[in-house]
Amino acid sequence: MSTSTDVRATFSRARSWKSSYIVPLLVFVAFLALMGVLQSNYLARLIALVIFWGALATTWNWVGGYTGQLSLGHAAFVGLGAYLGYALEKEFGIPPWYAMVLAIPLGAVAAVLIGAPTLRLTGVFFSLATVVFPITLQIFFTYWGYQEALIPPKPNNPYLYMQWDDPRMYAIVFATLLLIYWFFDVALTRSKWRFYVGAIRQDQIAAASVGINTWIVKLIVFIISGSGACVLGVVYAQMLFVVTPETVFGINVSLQAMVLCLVGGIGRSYGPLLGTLIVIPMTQALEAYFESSPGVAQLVYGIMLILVILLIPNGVIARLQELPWFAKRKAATSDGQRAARKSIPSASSFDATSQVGISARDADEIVLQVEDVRKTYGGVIAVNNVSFAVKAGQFVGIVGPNGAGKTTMFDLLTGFQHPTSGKIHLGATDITGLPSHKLARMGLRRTFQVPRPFPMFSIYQNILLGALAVRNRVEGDLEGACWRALDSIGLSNRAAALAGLSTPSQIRLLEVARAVVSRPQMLLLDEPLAGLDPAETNELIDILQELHRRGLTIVIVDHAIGMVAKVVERMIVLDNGSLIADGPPDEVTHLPRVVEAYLGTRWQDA
Amino acid sequence: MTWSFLGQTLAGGILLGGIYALLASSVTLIFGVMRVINFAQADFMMLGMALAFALNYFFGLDPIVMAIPVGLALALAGLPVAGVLERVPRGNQDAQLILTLGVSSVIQSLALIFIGPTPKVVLRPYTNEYFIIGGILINHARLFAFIAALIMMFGLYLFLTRTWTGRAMRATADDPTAAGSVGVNVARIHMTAFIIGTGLDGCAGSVMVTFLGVNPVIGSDFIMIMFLAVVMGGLGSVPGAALGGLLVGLIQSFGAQFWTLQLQNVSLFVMFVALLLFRPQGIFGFRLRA
Repeated sequence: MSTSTDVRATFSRARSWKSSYIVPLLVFVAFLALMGVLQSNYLARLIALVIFWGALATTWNWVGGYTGQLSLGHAAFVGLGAYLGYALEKEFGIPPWYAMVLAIPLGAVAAVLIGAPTLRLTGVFFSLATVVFPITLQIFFTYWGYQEALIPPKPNNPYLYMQWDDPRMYAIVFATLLLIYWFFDVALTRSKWRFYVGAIRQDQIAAASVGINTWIVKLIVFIISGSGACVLGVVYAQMLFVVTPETVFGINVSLQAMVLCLVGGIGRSYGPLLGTLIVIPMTQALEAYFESSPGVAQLVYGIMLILVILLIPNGVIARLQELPWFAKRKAATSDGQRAARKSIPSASSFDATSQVGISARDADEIVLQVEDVRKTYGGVIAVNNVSFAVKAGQFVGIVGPNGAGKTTMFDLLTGFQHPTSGKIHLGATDITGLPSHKLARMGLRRTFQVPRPFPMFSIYQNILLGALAVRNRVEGDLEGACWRALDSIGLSNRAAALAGLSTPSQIRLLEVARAVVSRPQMLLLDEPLAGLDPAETNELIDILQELHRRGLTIVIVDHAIGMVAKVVERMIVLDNGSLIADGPPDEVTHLPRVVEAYLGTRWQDA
Repeated sequence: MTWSFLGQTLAGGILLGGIYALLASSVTLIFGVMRVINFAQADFMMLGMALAFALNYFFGLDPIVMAIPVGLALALAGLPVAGVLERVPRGNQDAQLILTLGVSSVIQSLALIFIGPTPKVVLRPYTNEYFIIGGILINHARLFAFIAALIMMFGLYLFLTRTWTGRAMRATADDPTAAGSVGVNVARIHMTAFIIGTGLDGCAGSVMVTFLGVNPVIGSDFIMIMFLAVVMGGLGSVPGAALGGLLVGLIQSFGAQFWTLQLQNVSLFVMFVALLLFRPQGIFGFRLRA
C-alpha cells in the first residue's frame, strides 16, 4: 500500500488519524452515556429517526456526493432491506439480526442490477433511470399484497427480535451503523479513492483519459452505498413495525436522502449529518405542531426548503466555511502543503525532465500502427482507409483543413470512438475497440482541444491524478514524479492553486504534465496551440520539444499547418478523411495536393 | 383477442397519449431552455385541474372552453417561481432541483388546505357519452381533451417557429451564451419559457378534469410519466416529447390490457430502461427543434 501512504504524506489537508477515528468513537461513547440518562421517549424516537436519516443520507452521499451521480433510486435498497427482515421473520422466524447480515449481499446484488446498466448514463438520464427501480418495486410489493406488512410481534424476545418498546435501543443500533459508515467514509476520504471519485464527479471524460475506469469505480461505490442502505432498511422496518411499500420504496425516501445532503453540503463527509440535524427535527416539530390542520406542516416545510436554497444554495457547510474561523484553518492547511514541498529535492538538483518520457527503445520500433482505419457515420465517411505508423521517438503532426477528419482520427486513436473497420496497434498490442481508460493505462495519453482539467482539484492534484491509476508506470516515488512533472512545465510555484482558477495557457500546460507524469509510450495533443498567444505558444512548443528530445513520442493534431511544420519532424496531411501526404514538413507543405487542400484549386497556378 | 378489443386499446392509448404529449412538451420546453428539472411541473397541472373545477363549481363554466384562461392564470402563477429559479446561480442544478421540490411541496399542501384530499370530478354532459365507431367506444370528454391538446401543441409549434420570441427561445436552448451575444435577453427568455410551460400544464389540467378527478397529490402520479415521455423522445425536442407522450400513452394502455391494470406502469418502466440503454439520447436527439 505504498501508494496510499504517498498520497497521505502529500496532503496535510486529509484529516489526521486521530481526529478521523478517535473523535467519532468518543462521540459515540458520549452518545451511549446520553442514551443512558435520556428519559423522554418522544425525544429518543426523534433521535433514532435523526440517526437513521443521517446514516441513510451518508450512504447516499457516497454516490450522489462523492461520485456526483444524483441517484433517485436509493429507496430501492431501503425497501428491499425492510421487506427482507419482514419476510425472514414472518416465513421462517429468523431474527432481523441475521437479516442485517443478509442485507449486505442483497443490497450488493440489487446495486449491481440497478447500477450496471444505469451507471453508463450521465446526468439527468441517470437520475431518471434510477427512479423507476424503487417505483417498480413499490408497485410489485403492493400487487403481491404487502400493502401493510405487520412485523410478527415477539413480545418475549425483544432483544433477539429487535422489538423494543424503548426507542433508545433503535437509536443505539442506528448509531452503531452510523459509526461504521462514518469509519468507511473516513477511510474513503483518506485513500486514493477520493481522487478517483472526485475526478469522476468533476469530469468523467477527463477521468477516463487518465486511466480511471469510471464505470467500475462508480459501480463499486454504488454497491457499497446500496448495501449500507439495505442494512439500514432492516432496522428501520423493525422500528416502524408496520411496513408499507410507500414508506420504504416511495420516491420521497430517495428525495429525502438527497435533500438532506444538499441542505447540509453535498459531497462532504459532514454534509448529510448536518443536513439531517437541521431538516429532520424541523419536519418532526412541524408535524407535531400542526397535527390538527393537514397540509400546513408540509406548506411550511416547502417554504423553508425554498428559503434555505435561496439563502445558501451550496449547503450549510459551504456557508460555515466562509466564517473567519474556518478560513483561518484553510490557510493553515495550504501552508502545510507548501511545507510539504520543501521536503522534496529542489528542482535545480536534478534534470527536470529526466524521468519524463519513455524507457529507452530502438529508434526503429513502431509505437503506433494504423492499418486501413475507416470511420463512417451513416453515409458520411469521416476517415477513409487511413494507414500510417509512428516510430518510437518521432514527433509527428497530423494536419488538415477543417473537416478533414482530424478530430475523428484523434478520437479513434485514443479510444473515445471506435473505427468502423481497420486495426490500430500500440506496440505489439491490438488496441482496436479498447475503451479510452485502458489505452491511457497502456501509456497512450492525450490532451483535449477544449482543456478538461479537474477544476476543483489543485494543479498538483491534477498531475497526481495523471499517475494515480497507472502507478506501475511511474518509477520511484509518486510525489517526486509529480513535482518533476510540475517543474517541467514551470508551475511548481502554483502547485496548490485550484486548476479551475488558472489561466488557459496554464491549464494547457497542466494537461501536458498530467499526461507525461505517467511516463506514457506516446502523447497525443488535440489542437494544443488554439487560443494561445505567441509567447504562450513558444513556451508550450519549447516544453514539447524538450520532451521529444528526452525520447517521448509525440503526435500533435492541429490545423495550423505553418506552426506545426516548424515544430515536427514528420507531417501527415488529411483531407476529406483520406491521407494525402506523409513526410518531412518542408516537402509536404510544397506538395500541390496539400496546397490545394488548404487553399483551394485556384491557387495552384499562382 | 378481437380486432375491436385491439382497436379499443389503441384508441385509449392514443387519446391518453395526446394529453401526455402536451404535458411532455411543456416539460421539454422548460428543461430544454432553462436546463431545470422541474419537479413541480405536474403540480401546476393539478392546479389547472383545480382551477377549472372551481370555475365549473362556482360559475358553471366548461373546463374545455376555459382551457386558455386557466392556462393564462397558471402562466401567471408560474411567474414568481420562474423569478425565484432565476435567482439561483445558473448551472447550480442541485439547488434548482431542491427549489422545485420545495415549490411542489408548497403547491400540494395549499391544494390540500383549500380543496381537501378527496378527488373532485367535473361532470359535463359529455363526460359519460361515447361515440361508437366500428365497435370502438370513444369517450366524448377524452376526445375533446385530445383535440384541445393537439390544438395547443400546434400553437406551441407555431410560436416556436414563427415568432421572434420563439426563435430566440430555441436559440437560447441551443447555446445561451451565443444567444445572449446576439441580443437575446436570456433571463427573460428563461422566464418566458417557464411560464409558457406552466401555462401549458394548466391548459392540460383544465381539459383533463372532465374525465379525471383532481386531488392534491395527483401530480405525483403524472410527474414520472411526464419525465419518462420526455426522455423517451429526447430531452429538449418538442416533436420528440410529443412522440414520447404518445408512446407512453400506448404502452400504458396496452400494458393495462395485456398484463393487469396495477402493473401498467411496470411495462412502461421496462420499456423506458431498455430504451435508455440502447438509445440514451432518446428517439430524437437533444436539441430543441420545432
